[in-house]
Amino acid sequence: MNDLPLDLLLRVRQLRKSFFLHERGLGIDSSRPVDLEVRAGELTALTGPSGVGKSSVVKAIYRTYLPSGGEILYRDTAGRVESLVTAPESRILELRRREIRYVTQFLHFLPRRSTLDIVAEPLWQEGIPAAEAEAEARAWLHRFKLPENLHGVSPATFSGGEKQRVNLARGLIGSPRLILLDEPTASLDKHTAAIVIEAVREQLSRGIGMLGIFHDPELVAALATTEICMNGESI
Amino acid sequence: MKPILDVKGLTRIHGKSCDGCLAATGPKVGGNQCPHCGSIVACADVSFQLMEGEILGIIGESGSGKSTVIRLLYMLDQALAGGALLHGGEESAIDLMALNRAQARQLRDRHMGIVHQNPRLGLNYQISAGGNIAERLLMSGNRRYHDIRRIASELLVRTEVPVSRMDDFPGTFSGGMQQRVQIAKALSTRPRLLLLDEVTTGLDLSVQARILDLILELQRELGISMIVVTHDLGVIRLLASRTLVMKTGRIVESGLTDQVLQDPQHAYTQQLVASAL
Repeated sequence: MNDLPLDLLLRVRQLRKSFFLHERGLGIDSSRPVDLEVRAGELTALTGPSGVGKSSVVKAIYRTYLPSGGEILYRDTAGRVESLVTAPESRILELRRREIRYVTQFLHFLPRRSTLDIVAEPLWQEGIPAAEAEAEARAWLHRFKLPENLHGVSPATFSGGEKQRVNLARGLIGSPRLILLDEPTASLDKHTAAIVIEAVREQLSRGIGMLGIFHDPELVAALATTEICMNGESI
Repeated sequence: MKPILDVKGLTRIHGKSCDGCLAATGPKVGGNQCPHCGSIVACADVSFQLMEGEILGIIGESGSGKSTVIRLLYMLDQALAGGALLHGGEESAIDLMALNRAQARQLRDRHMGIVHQNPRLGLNYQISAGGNIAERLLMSGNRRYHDIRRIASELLVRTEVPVSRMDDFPGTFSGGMQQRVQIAKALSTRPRLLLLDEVTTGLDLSVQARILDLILELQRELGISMIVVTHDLGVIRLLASRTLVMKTGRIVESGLTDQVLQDPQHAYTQQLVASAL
C-alpha cells in the first residue's frame, strides 16, 4: 500500500460516505466515490453544488466521519505512508495535534478562553513554548486586523466577521503539514479576502499542502493548483 | 503514544451467574438481567486502552455499567473475569484485577485517584479539608508534617479552594467546593491514573464549567491520564479525545469523540446524540 508518489502528501481513491439511520431503517449516500490528490505547497480545491458531499469527504479524511469505502493514503513528516482509513485512533489524534488541521466555517472554541489562547493553541499542540506561541498568535491577530483590546477576551461576543478572522488565524498559524479547509472563507469582505489570499499563499510557499472547499471561483482561481469538481472531472 | 492502561474482557455479574448469562443479556436483547438465573450482568467483555495523558470518556445511561467499570478499575469491586494492566513507573505492568486487598490499597494510595459524583464517598467529613488531603499523603508514605501542610495548601490554591478554609470541615463547604477538595485530594499523590465518575452531575452550570475547566488545565499541565464517566454529552465533547458508549453492560461503540458525536454508528448512540438538548 506504500505506493504513494513522492510528491504527494495525500491521495484519496474512490472515497465514499454513506450513513445508516437505524431509527428509520434508512441508508443515505452522502458522497459518490471521489478521487483527489494534495501535493506539498499546493492547494487542491474541492468544488461543486451544495449537498454533493464535499464536507463529507473532508470529514472522512479527518476521521470525524468513518469512510464507507475507498482509500486515503497520507505521507507523514517522517516520510512514512499510512492509511488514514485504518490508522488507529491514537495515531489519528497524534496527526491531528502535529500534522493535519481541519478548519471549518465556524469558530469552535473552548468556552471561557481568551482569543489569544484560542489562536495559540495549535502551536502548543505542536510543542512550541507558551511565550513564543503567544507572540506568534498576536502577530496573526494583527495580520487579520483584530483590535488589540479584543485579544484578551473570549470570542463569544464577537461579530461574525471577527469570529471568522479569529478562526482563520487559528487555522493558518504554525507549521502543520496538511490543512483541510471546509469553507472557512464563505462571505468574506473584499479586504479580508485579500489578507486571507496572501496568508494562504505564504503558508503554501512554506510547503504546507491544503485541501479546500470553496464556493467563490475567484478564490479558487487565486489559490488552487488543482480543482476537483464533485459532479464533474478534475481540471 | 504509549498505553497506560490495557483493559481486556472486564466482566462483573451480580448474583450466582450461569453459563447463559452473557448470551442472554446485552444490547441486542435489551436487558442486563439473565432470564435463566436472574443474575445482573453489570458489565461484560469491556476492553479498551487508555493512552498516556489522554482523557477517555465513557458515556451511557444509568445502569449501563459505566460506573461499574470505574469501581472495578479502582479495585472497589471484584471482577468475575478480565484484566486491567496498569503500565508506567519502573516496575513492569501490574494487573489490577490480580491484586489482593493490601496490594490494591497500596497501589490506589500511590498511583491512582478517584473523584466520585457524591463527595461523601470520597471525603472524610470528620476531619478538615486539609486533613483529608494530609490523610492521603500519609497513606502514600509522606510523613513530614511541613511538606504535607505545604502540599495541601498548594493543592487547594490550585483547585481554587480558599486556603483560609483549609482547617474547616468539608460539610461546611458548598457542593462545588467539596468537589474541588475531592479533586485536590485525588491529585495529592500525583496519580498516574485519575478516575472521574459523574463529577459535575447535579452542580450549578457555572460551578460545572469551572470544574471542567480545572480538569482540562490539570490534564494540560500535569499530563495525567483520565477516565471520565458521564451521561452528559457536553462533558464528553469538552473533555474527551476518545469516547466509549456503553449500554446494558457492554461497549456498543467507541471512537474519536467528534466521530462518535457526528457520525454515530450504533442505533443506541444515534438515539443518544439525537436526544441531546
